[in-house]
Amino acid sequence: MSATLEDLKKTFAFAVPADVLAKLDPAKPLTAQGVDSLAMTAMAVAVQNAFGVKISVAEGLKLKTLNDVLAFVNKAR
Amino acid sequence: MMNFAAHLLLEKARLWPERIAARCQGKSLTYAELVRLSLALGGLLRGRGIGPGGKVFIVLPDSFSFLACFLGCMLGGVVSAPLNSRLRRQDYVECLADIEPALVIASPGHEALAAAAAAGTPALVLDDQGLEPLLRDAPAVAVHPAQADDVCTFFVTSGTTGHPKVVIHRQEDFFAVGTYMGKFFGVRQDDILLCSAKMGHAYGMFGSLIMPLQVGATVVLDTDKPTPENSLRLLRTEKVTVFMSVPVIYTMLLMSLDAREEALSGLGQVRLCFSAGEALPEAVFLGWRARTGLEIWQGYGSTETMTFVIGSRPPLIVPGVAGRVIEPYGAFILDENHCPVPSGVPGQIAVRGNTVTRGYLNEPEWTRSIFTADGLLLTGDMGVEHDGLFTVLGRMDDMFKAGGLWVSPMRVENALLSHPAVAQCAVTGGDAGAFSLVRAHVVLKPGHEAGPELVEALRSHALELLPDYMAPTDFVFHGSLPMTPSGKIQRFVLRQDASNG
Repeated sequence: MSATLEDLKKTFAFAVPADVLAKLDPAKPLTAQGVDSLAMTAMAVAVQNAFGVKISVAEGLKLKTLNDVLAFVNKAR
Repeated sequence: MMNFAAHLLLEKARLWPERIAARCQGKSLTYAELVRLSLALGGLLRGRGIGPGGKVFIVLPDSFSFLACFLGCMLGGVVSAPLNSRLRRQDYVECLADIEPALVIASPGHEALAAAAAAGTPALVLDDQGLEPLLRDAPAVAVHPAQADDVCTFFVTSGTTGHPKVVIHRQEDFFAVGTYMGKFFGVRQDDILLCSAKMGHAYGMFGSLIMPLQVGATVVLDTDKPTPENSLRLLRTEKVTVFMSVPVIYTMLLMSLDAREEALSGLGQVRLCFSAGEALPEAVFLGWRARTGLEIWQGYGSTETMTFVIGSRPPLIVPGVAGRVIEPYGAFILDENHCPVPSGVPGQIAVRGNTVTRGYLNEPEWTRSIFTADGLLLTGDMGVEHDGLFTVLGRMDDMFKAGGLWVSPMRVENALLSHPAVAQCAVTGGDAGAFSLVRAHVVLKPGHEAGPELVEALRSHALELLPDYMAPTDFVFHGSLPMTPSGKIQRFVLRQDASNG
């Protein structure tokens, strides 16, 4: 079964402050929405652990939006 | 006389009083104003009985106040300790005990003020709004006729145990950094510089103070934490020409650009991009070149060397490699007996050069341990050399960097061990995508169960006790940890397991 945006947001609950997470626009770059480097790192870890995928450096650079992350997870699984 | 602050400022203020020395929060500071404020700050300190040899902490964001305090100290012969302003109260308590300054200068509400109060050290609360009123009536200090060998600055860096190491630098070191790095970078008077590293670190001190002021250029100061939004905004609005940053910021900048957006067009003025602090991933180098047409220069150095001893610049940049030795430094790869190894054989990187520290404050044993019998500085980094090109392979001890800042594993472990669920733990560096991170390997006490709630509890606990960049982002639970026969945790085994898994 494919992961959904909601699954993704649940995964990020402890990586990103709740107020920032609630307002995230899935189509906009995360870095432009108050997600700092510490939170980005925690999100990358959460994705790897929750979905059992490995993010390479080159792939990681392309995961700019929540939609990008979702597509990556569903393709990699 | 060898007073570096006088060398930086006095002649330039005569030659170009109206030239802009610094920009911060939309305001400009001319060279003439910077000299006046710095001399007055020195005078204010002198009025408080703090003169040559006296010691002062500077715990301020990058700002006009920071520049005036640092340069004012140096003009008056006062030894300054510019400190990272993101540390926790306990860090400042330890630094105060080590250095025993006569005064702590910090921004309103800062943790360092509470530490100063507890230690009974006088404090001065300062921000840019308070700078002019504070100094309006202060007399200009008589410039201290410093000698080359005079200690002028302490940089504080983390040690493996978490106890701060106080790295001593002298007037001569500043002069040499200015001269040699000036040649390497070729920064010009008409350049506008932005450096993501803060001036409490040797890298930031170089990028935001030594290099721009040395040539009479303009520095753009960011009082906030560097973020891609801030950096991009300042690069564009301030027409920055030289951007000095760290890999995590280049990564975030690449990730903040929408695929449809025109290739970093607002960076049109930037002619030089530089990265240091951590190894720059090849994919980031290539991505940046594809988007901007610019190749990122790289540097390798340490607080102990004060500046970069190995570096690369176009047309000789090999992605993923630190580069070649920068004039006039020497770099060597040594075996465990401190003998040079043949080209291509990994060993410890050792360096020579006249900006290298003479040692750590109050720590003669640590100081002895970082020098070979021939006087080479042992960096603690493993490296390999091929045809004059150096690659840095990682630390020999358990220290590591996350987001470009040093993390002491024992300090993070002690914080986690103070949580009631933790029986044993070991902390290592790791990575996810292009981000470097702090990973905690934890053995739980009986009756506690690994799960998302516990992870969150452990992370919150760590955030209360540690600077934010040291708090682990990844928790791995183990039944037991790999140990040596003598009972030490084998962190290297955990590191290998993680990179293979």
